[in-house]
Order: sequence, then structure tokens, then C-alpha cells
Amino acid sequence: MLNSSFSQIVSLIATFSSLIAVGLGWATHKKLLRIHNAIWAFMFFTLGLETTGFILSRFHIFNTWLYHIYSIIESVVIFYFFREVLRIQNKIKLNSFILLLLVIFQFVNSMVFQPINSQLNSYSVMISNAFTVVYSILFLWHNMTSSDPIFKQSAFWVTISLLIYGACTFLVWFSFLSFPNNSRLISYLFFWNWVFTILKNLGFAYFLWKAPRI
Amino acid sequence: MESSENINLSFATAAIIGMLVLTVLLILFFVAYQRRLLKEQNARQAEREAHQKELLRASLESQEREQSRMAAELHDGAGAMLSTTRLYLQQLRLQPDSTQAKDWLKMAENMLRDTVTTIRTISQNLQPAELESIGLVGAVRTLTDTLEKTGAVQVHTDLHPTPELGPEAQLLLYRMAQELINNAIKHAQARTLTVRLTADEAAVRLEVSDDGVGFDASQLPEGRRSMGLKTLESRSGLLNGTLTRKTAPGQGTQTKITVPILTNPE
Repeated sequence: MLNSSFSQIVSLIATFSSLIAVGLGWATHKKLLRIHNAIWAFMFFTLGLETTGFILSRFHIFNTWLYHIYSIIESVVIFYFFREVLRIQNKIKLNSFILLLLVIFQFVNSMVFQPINSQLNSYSVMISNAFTVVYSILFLWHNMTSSDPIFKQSAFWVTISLLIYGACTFLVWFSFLSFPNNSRLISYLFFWNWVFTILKNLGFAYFLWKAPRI
Repeated sequence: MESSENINLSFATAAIIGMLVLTVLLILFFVAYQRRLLKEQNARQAEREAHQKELLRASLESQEREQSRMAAELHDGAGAMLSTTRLYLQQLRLQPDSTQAKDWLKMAENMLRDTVTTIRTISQNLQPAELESIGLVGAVRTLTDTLEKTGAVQVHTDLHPTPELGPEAQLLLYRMAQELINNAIKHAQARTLTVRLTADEAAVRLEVSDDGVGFDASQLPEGRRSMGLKTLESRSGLLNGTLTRKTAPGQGTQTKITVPILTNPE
């Protein structure tokens, strides 16, 4: 269904798509607000992790444990992003207890249900994506009454990229769980996962590009 | 086997693309809805600003009118009286032994007394002393009593104590009562006048009705409307109040002003 070299190019772009955000934050990170610096650090971490994962896969070394760690960090950063943005806008305060539950679930999942060194943590990713969708909708809902057009906010573009990423990769992982033995489907699903990952990283890059300097 | 794999692939593609479309539609809905809210908000804001501008214009116009009236009263009343007094005193200085000297002195004294009364009246019009000493109800009662004593018009009053109102709100309500009574006498040629001041927890209501000639509001020249009605509208608007008027030729006029208590400026 998909040309394999095209799929490989997309995979490479996805692996290094966080480079744009890292580059944008590199020159200005000393002048950025805490929230932007956190996103920049996360993008840096993403780049390092994706590069390590890429190298390990080239040498056929098992790398699922990397993604177990990554999904926990990603959940924390996405929660932090929405909590800070909504707090700065004086909208609502997201309860950190939700995050705690999510992290505990992901940890237990990596230890018990989908072991860190043998399986991909699809349950964790799906739950985390569902939370991302909820936060995104909360952001959009609370910004409907803003006195400025919503699309003028850089956080809006991150939110829509996260909403699309969260909703669509939820289905990707759901399909992955539903048809675990269909190898053609799995490579196809990974293709879509990379596409939405690129979109998410571009959203963060835009957020850093438009960041106010202090 | 391959066919089943293809079905799964097609199913997954449809589901992912379907979800993508759904998400994009959801985002578009939020953006469009927010744009609609913003548009409504801007329209309301523009309307409020236009209304405020109109109030300010009417208020300035009314102030200008008051100042012109005051200038005329000072010039034609007090000014003229003082000039006459000066003439009497001048005569007295030039011909102190004249047989009329006593009369001139007496007339100068009378003129000075009248000047003092005139200035007191002007000052009273600027800030009625009763408002401060006996409150709004007392001040309106003094106004209607003074009017009734002239015998030109019969006045019925129904005045009830109002809740604590700030001095500015009291003055504006008093001015509106004054304006309505003045209109009834000056333009409506009323013989009977009813002034009602009532209040509850939510609002203060001032109502003035007369049995005068009434008028057709739609036929009123714009200039006249802007002078009288707009001054009342602007004053009531300053208190976030509403003004309603019932009138028709030969049917008298009934004007009701309702001022909410919670939102008055004080």
C-alpha cells in the first residue's frame, strides 16, 4: 500500500522532526519563559531519544524500553503545558492528581502488563492520548470566550497539533492492539504514527518560534 | 489471508482518516464559534460605545444649555439689577442733597435685596440646598409645594422614602423631576399634575403625569426632541435607568423613569 522508501523517509523525518524546535529554542532559550524552556528541553530530550532509538534499531538492538520512558515524560510535559497555559490565561487549574494517576498507570503497565523490555506500551500511549484529547478540548472550550481570535495564540497551534496527534494516534494504537499479527498493517500504522509525530513536533516548534522573549 | 490483511488495512485507513476529518471539523467548529462570539461581542461593544457617546453628547448639550441659562440669568437678572443699583448710588453721590435722595437709597436697598434673592435662586437651581438637608423626597415636595402656591396648577403627590442614594443620583433624579414638571407647565399647558416617587429594593421610580395637550412623539421636531427628551434620557442613562413615555395629542403625558438601585453610580 505504501512505498517502502517513502515510508522510510517519513520515518527519518519523524525521528529528526524535533530538530526544528531544538534549533529554534537553541538561540533564544536564555530569554524564554519557563514553559517555553520546558518545551525546548522536552524537544531536546525527544531528539536524543529518537536518535538513540534510531541507532539501536540500525544495530537490531531492542529499543522498546526507550519508548516506555518517553511516553511517561511526554505525558508529564503535555500535562504541564496545558496546566501552565490555562493557568496563565486564568481559566482553570488542572489537578496534578490526574497526572499522578496516569504516571502510576504507565509505570505499572511497563512493569506488569506490557513489560518494558519486550513489548510496546500501547495501553499507556492510548490512555495518555485520551488525556491529551481531553486537555486540548478543555483548552479550546475555555478559549472560546477569549477577546482575541483564538488562532492568534501560539498555544492554539500546539493544541490542535496535539489534538490531532492524540485522537489519531489513539486509533493507530487501537488498530495495533486489534490486529497484532498483521505485519503489513503494523508497518502502515507506524507510518501514520510518524506523520502525526511530525505534526506534533511542528506544533511545538511553532510554539517556540512565537515565544515571547524576556 | 492477504484479503483479510487488506480489509484490516482499509478499515484502519478509513478509521484514521475519519478520525482526522472529525478532529479537523471539531477544531473548525471551535474556531468558527469563537469568531461568531467575537463578532457578537464586538457588535455589542460598538453599540455600547455609540450609546455612551450619545449620552455624553446629550449630557454636554444639557450642561451647555444650563450654562447658557445661568449666564442669561446672571446677565439679565442679577447683572441688570446691580447696574440699576449702581445708577441709584451714582445719583446719590452726585446729588446727595436732592429731595429724591431718600427714595434712591431706598430703591438701591430694595434692588440689592432683590439681587440677593435672584442670586440665591440661581444658586438653589445649581445645587438645591433641600437635597442635602431634607433629602430627595423633601426636595421634590418643596418643588411641588412652590408650584402649587402659584395657583396656576393643581399638584397631586405620592412621594415615598427612597433607599439610601448617593448625592449624584439624588441630584439627577431631582433634575429629572424638575425637567418633567417644567415641561408639563411650559409645553403641555397642564392644569393638573401628578408627581409620584416610589421605590422598592430593586429600583427607584419617578413618574410625572399631566392632563395637558400631549403630543405626537413622531411629529416632534428633532431639535425639540434633542433638547428635552434627550436630556432626560441622558440623565436616566447616567443612572443606568430606563425612560418610558405615554402621550398622544389631547391625552396628556405620562413619563416614567426607573432607576435600578444596585447599578446606580453611587
